[in-house]
Amino acid sequence: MEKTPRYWGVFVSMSAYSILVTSSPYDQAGSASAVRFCQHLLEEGHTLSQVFFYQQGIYNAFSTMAPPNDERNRFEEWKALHDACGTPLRVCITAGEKRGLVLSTDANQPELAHPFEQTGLGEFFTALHDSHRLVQF
Amino acid sequence: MANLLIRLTSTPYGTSDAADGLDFAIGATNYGHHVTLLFEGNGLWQLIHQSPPDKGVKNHSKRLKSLTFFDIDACYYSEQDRLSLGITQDKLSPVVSKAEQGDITSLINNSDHVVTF
Repeated sequence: MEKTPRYWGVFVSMSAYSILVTSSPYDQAGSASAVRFCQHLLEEGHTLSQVFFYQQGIYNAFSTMAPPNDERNRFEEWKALHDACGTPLRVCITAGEKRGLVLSTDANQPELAHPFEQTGLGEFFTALHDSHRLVQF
Repeated sequence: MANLLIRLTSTPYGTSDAADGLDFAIGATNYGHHVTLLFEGNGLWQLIHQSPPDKGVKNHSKRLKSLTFFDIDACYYSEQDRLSLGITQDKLSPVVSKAEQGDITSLINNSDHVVTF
Protein backbone atom coordinates (compact mmCIF):
# COMPACT_ATOMS: atom_id res chain seq x y z
CA MET A 1 0.00 0.00 0.00
CA GLU A 2 1.55 3.28 -1.09
CA LYS A 3 2.07 5.62 1.81
CA THR A 4 0.30 8.92 1.30
CA PRO A 5 1.84 12.12 2.61
CA ARG A 6 0.90 12.99 6.14
CA TYR A 7 0.60 16.70 5.55
CA TRP A 8 -1.62 18.63 3.21
CA GLY A 9 -0.34 22.19 3.60
CA VAL A 10 -0.17 25.06 1.17
CA PHE A 11 1.54 28.30 2.05
CA VAL A 12 -0.97 31.12 2.20
CA SER A 13 0.25 34.61 3.00
CA MET A 14 0.13 35.56 6.67
CA SER A 15 -1.61 32.44 7.94
CA ALA A 16 -1.74 31.02 11.43
CA TYR A 17 -0.48 27.45 11.65
CA SER A 18 -0.95 24.71 14.20
CA ILE A 19 1.58 21.92 14.04
CA LEU A 20 0.86 18.37 15.20
CA VAL A 21 3.97 16.27 15.90
CA THR A 22 3.38 12.53 16.18
CA SER A 23 6.95 11.54 15.26
CA SER A 24 9.60 10.63 17.79
CA PRO A 25 12.80 12.70 17.62
CA TYR A 26 15.22 10.17 16.12
CA ASP A 27 13.30 7.07 15.09
CA GLN A 28 11.38 8.92 12.40
CA ALA A 29 12.27 11.84 10.14
CA GLY A 30 9.04 13.69 10.87
CA SER A 31 10.24 15.68 13.86
CA ALA A 32 13.28 17.03 11.97
CA SER A 33 10.97 18.01 9.12
CA ALA A 34 8.64 19.67 11.60
CA VAL A 35 11.41 21.85 13.02
CA ARG A 36 12.54 22.92 9.54
CA PHE A 37 8.96 23.59 8.47
CA CYS A 38 8.34 25.77 11.52
CA GLN A 39 11.55 27.68 10.90
CA HIS A 40 10.51 28.37 7.30
CA LEU A 41 7.03 29.42 8.41
CA LEU A 42 8.52 32.08 10.63
CA GLU A 43 10.95 33.21 7.93
CA GLU A 44 8.01 33.64 5.55
CA GLY A 45 6.16 35.79 8.08
CA HIS A 46 3.46 33.33 9.12
CA THR A 47 2.22 32.82 12.64
CA LEU A 48 3.09 29.64 14.48
CA SER A 49 0.11 29.38 16.82
CA GLN A 50 1.12 26.18 18.59
CA VAL A 51 3.03 22.96 18.34
CA PHE A 52 1.27 19.96 19.90
CA PHE A 53 3.16 16.77 20.66
CA TYR A 54 1.05 13.61 20.56
CA GLN A 55 1.76 9.87 20.55
CA GLN A 56 5.52 9.26 20.14
CA GLY A 57 5.93 12.97 19.49
CA ILE A 58 6.09 13.52 23.23
CA TYR A 59 9.64 12.16 23.18
CA ASN A 60 10.69 15.47 21.63
CA ALA A 61 10.09 17.00 25.06
CA PHE A 62 12.58 14.87 26.96
CA SER A 63 15.18 17.31 28.30
CA THR A 64 17.40 14.34 29.16
CA MET A 65 17.98 13.28 25.53
CA ALA A 66 21.70 13.04 24.77
CA PRO A 67 22.42 12.44 21.09
CA PRO A 68 26.00 12.10 19.84
CA ASN A 69 27.88 15.38 19.41
CA ASP A 70 27.57 15.28 15.63
CA GLU A 71 23.76 14.96 15.73
CA ARG A 72 21.17 17.63 16.44
CA ASN A 73 19.55 17.79 19.86
CA ARG A 74 15.84 17.93 19.03
CA PHE A 75 14.85 19.23 22.46
CA GLU A 76 17.25 22.16 22.02
CA GLU A 77 15.92 22.83 18.51
CA TRP A 78 12.36 23.11 19.78
CA LYS A 79 13.54 25.26 22.66
CA ALA A 80 15.32 27.61 20.24
CA LEU A 81 12.16 27.84 18.15
CA HIS A 82 10.14 28.78 21.23
CA ASP A 83 12.74 31.34 22.28
CA ALA A 84 12.57 32.93 18.83
CA CYS A 85 8.80 33.38 18.66
CA GLY A 86 7.18 32.30 21.94
CA THR A 87 5.12 29.55 20.32
CA PRO A 88 3.51 27.26 22.92
CA LEU A 89 5.03 23.78 22.86
CA ARG A 90 2.22 21.62 24.19
CA VAL A 91 2.75 18.02 25.24
CA CYS A 92 -0.27 15.74 25.54
CA ILE A 93 -0.48 14.86 29.21
CA THR A 94 -2.03 11.43 28.58
CA ALA A 95 0.49 10.43 25.91
CA GLY A 96 3.34 11.75 28.04
CA GLU A 97 2.43 10.08 31.29
CA LYS A 98 1.75 6.79 29.52
CA ARG A 99 5.36 6.92 28.28
CA GLY A 100 6.89 8.04 31.55
CA LEU A 101 7.27 11.77 30.93
CA VAL A 102 6.41 13.37 34.21
CA LEU A 103 6.54 16.66 36.03
CA SER A 104 9.20 15.66 38.48
CA THR A 105 12.15 17.06 40.36
CA ASP A 106 13.70 13.60 40.57
CA ALA A 107 16.88 13.80 38.49
CA ASN A 108 16.49 10.13 37.53
CA GLN A 109 13.11 10.69 35.86
CA PRO A 110 12.59 12.17 32.40
CA GLU A 111 11.31 15.59 33.24
CA LEU A 112 9.07 17.90 31.32
CA ALA A 113 11.20 21.02 31.11
CA HIS A 114 10.52 24.57 30.05
CA PRO A 115 9.45 25.66 27.49
CA PHE A 116 7.35 22.52 27.00
CA GLU A 117 3.95 22.57 28.69
CA GLN A 118 1.91 19.61 29.80
CA THR A 119 -1.59 20.08 28.42
CA GLY A 120 -4.41 18.10 26.89
CA LEU A 121 -6.17 17.69 23.59
CA GLY A 122 -8.64 20.28 24.85
CA GLU A 123 -6.10 23.11 24.76
CA PHE A 124 -4.94 21.99 21.33
CA PHE A 125 -8.43 21.92 19.83
CA THR A 126 -9.40 25.19 21.48
CA ALA A 127 -6.41 26.93 19.88
CA LEU A 128 -7.12 25.18 16.56
CA HIS A 129 -10.23 27.33 16.17
CA ASP A 130 -7.90 30.27 15.50
CA SER A 131 -5.58 28.48 13.05
CA HIS A 132 -5.90 28.56 9.30
CA ARG A 133 -3.83 25.42 8.75
CA LEU A 134 -2.97 22.25 10.61
CA VAL A 135 0.09 20.33 9.46
CA GLN A 136 1.06 16.94 10.86
CA PHE A 137 4.56 15.48 11.02
CA MET B 1 -15.33 25.34 14.05
CA ALA B 2 -13.09 23.38 11.69
CA ASN B 3 -13.96 20.35 9.58
CA LEU B 4 -11.40 17.66 10.33
CA LEU B 5 -10.89 14.61 8.18
CA ILE B 6 -9.19 11.90 10.21
CA ARG B 7 -7.73 9.08 8.16
CA LEU B 8 -7.38 5.81 10.06
CA THR B 9 -4.87 3.60 8.27
CA SER B 10 -3.67 1.15 10.92
CA THR B 11 -4.82 -2.19 12.25
CA PRO B 12 -6.85 -2.05 15.48
CA TYR B 13 -4.26 -3.46 17.87
CA GLY B 14 -0.90 -3.70 16.04
CA THR B 15 0.07 -0.17 17.08
CA SER B 16 -1.53 2.51 19.23
CA ASP B 17 -2.55 4.49 16.13
CA ALA B 18 -6.12 3.20 15.99
CA ALA B 19 -6.87 3.99 19.64
CA ASP B 20 -5.01 7.30 19.56
CA GLY B 21 -6.83 8.27 16.39
CA LEU B 22 -10.20 7.74 18.06
CA ASP B 23 -9.07 9.68 21.13
CA PHE B 24 -8.06 12.51 18.81
CA ALA B 25 -11.38 12.40 16.95
CA ILE B 26 -13.45 12.43 20.14
CA GLY B 27 -11.32 15.25 21.54
CA ALA B 28 -12.03 17.28 18.42
CA THR B 29 -15.81 17.00 18.69
CA ASN B 30 -15.68 17.63 22.43
CA TYR B 31 -14.14 21.01 21.64
CA GLY B 32 -16.47 22.11 18.91
CA HIS B 33 -14.99 20.74 15.69
CA HIS B 34 -16.70 18.54 13.12
CA VAL B 35 -15.06 15.19 12.40
CA THR B 36 -15.24 12.84 9.45
CA LEU B 37 -13.50 9.48 9.73
CA LEU B 38 -12.06 7.71 6.72
CA PHE B 39 -10.78 4.17 7.04
CA GLU B 40 -8.12 3.39 4.46
CA GLY B 41 -5.59 0.65 3.86
CA ASN B 42 -5.01 -1.51 6.91
CA GLY B 43 -7.45 0.72 8.79
CA LEU B 44 -10.24 -1.34 7.26
CA TRP B 45 -9.27 -4.18 9.61
CA GLN B 46 -10.65 -2.01 12.42
CA LEU B 47 -14.09 -2.51 10.92
CA ILE B 48 -14.09 -6.30 11.06
CA HIS B 49 -15.66 -8.16 13.95
CA GLN B 50 -12.93 -9.10 16.40
CA SER B 51 -12.60 -11.18 19.52
CA PRO B 52 -12.43 -9.10 22.68
CA PRO B 53 -8.87 -7.94 23.35
CA ASP B 54 -6.84 -8.86 26.42
CA LYS B 55 -7.68 -7.29 29.74
CA GLY B 56 -6.28 -3.80 30.00
CA VAL B 57 -6.70 -3.13 26.29
CA LYS B 58 -9.59 -0.97 25.17
CA ASN B 59 -12.13 -2.78 22.99
CA HIS B 60 -11.83 -0.98 19.67
CA SER B 61 -15.01 -2.41 18.15
CA LYS B 62 -17.08 -1.15 21.08
CA ARG B 63 -15.49 2.29 20.78
CA LEU B 64 -16.41 2.46 17.09
CA LYS B 65 -20.04 1.62 17.89
CA SER B 66 -20.16 4.45 20.43
CA LEU B 67 -18.91 7.18 18.08
CA THR B 68 -22.40 8.48 17.44
CA PHE B 69 -22.62 9.50 21.10
CA PHE B 70 -19.71 11.84 20.40
CA ASP B 71 -21.41 13.35 17.32
CA ILE B 72 -19.16 11.41 14.96
CA ASP B 73 -21.55 10.05 12.35
CA ALA B 74 -19.67 10.69 9.11
CA CYS B 75 -17.61 7.51 8.80
CA TYR B 76 -16.40 6.11 5.50
CA TYR B 77 -14.19 3.36 4.17
CA SER B 78 -12.24 3.21 0.93
CA GLU B 79 -14.03 0.88 -1.45
CA GLN B 80 -10.84 0.50 -3.49
CA ASP B 81 -8.93 -0.66 -0.42
CA ARG B 82 -11.73 -3.02 0.58
CA LEU B 83 -11.43 -4.71 -2.80
CA SER B 84 -7.61 -4.80 -2.57
CA LEU B 85 -7.75 -6.45 0.84
CA GLY B 86 -10.42 -8.94 -0.26
CA ILE B 87 -12.84 -7.99 2.53
CA THR B 88 -16.49 -8.60 1.74
CA GLN B 89 -18.91 -5.80 2.48
CA ASP B 90 -20.96 -7.88 4.89
CA LYS B 91 -17.91 -8.18 7.17
CA LEU B 92 -17.70 -4.43 7.75
CA SER B 93 -19.13 -2.61 10.74
CA PRO B 94 -22.48 -0.94 9.95
CA VAL B 95 -21.17 2.42 11.22
CA VAL B 96 -19.34 3.09 7.93
CA SER B 97 -20.42 3.99 4.41
CA LYS B 98 -18.62 3.30 1.17
CA ALA B 99 -16.39 5.95 -0.40
CA GLU B 100 -15.13 5.65 -3.96
CA GLN B 101 -11.97 7.49 -5.02
CA GLY B 102 -13.96 10.50 -6.18
CA ASP B 103 -15.78 10.60 -2.87
CA ILE B 104 -12.46 10.57 -1.02
CA THR B 105 -11.23 13.48 -3.09
CA SER B 106 -14.37 15.38 -2.16
CA LEU B 107 -13.94 14.55 1.51
CA ILE B 108 -10.41 15.95 1.42
CA ASN B 109 -11.41 19.06 -0.51
CA ASN B 110 -14.27 19.77 1.88
CA SER B 111 -12.08 19.49 4.95
CA ASP B 112 -10.18 22.29 6.65
CA HIS B 113 -7.58 19.91 8.09
CA VAL B 114 -6.52 16.32 7.41
CA VAL B 115 -4.79 14.15 9.98
CA THR B 116 -3.60 10.55 9.65
CA PHE B 117 -3.24 7.79 12.22
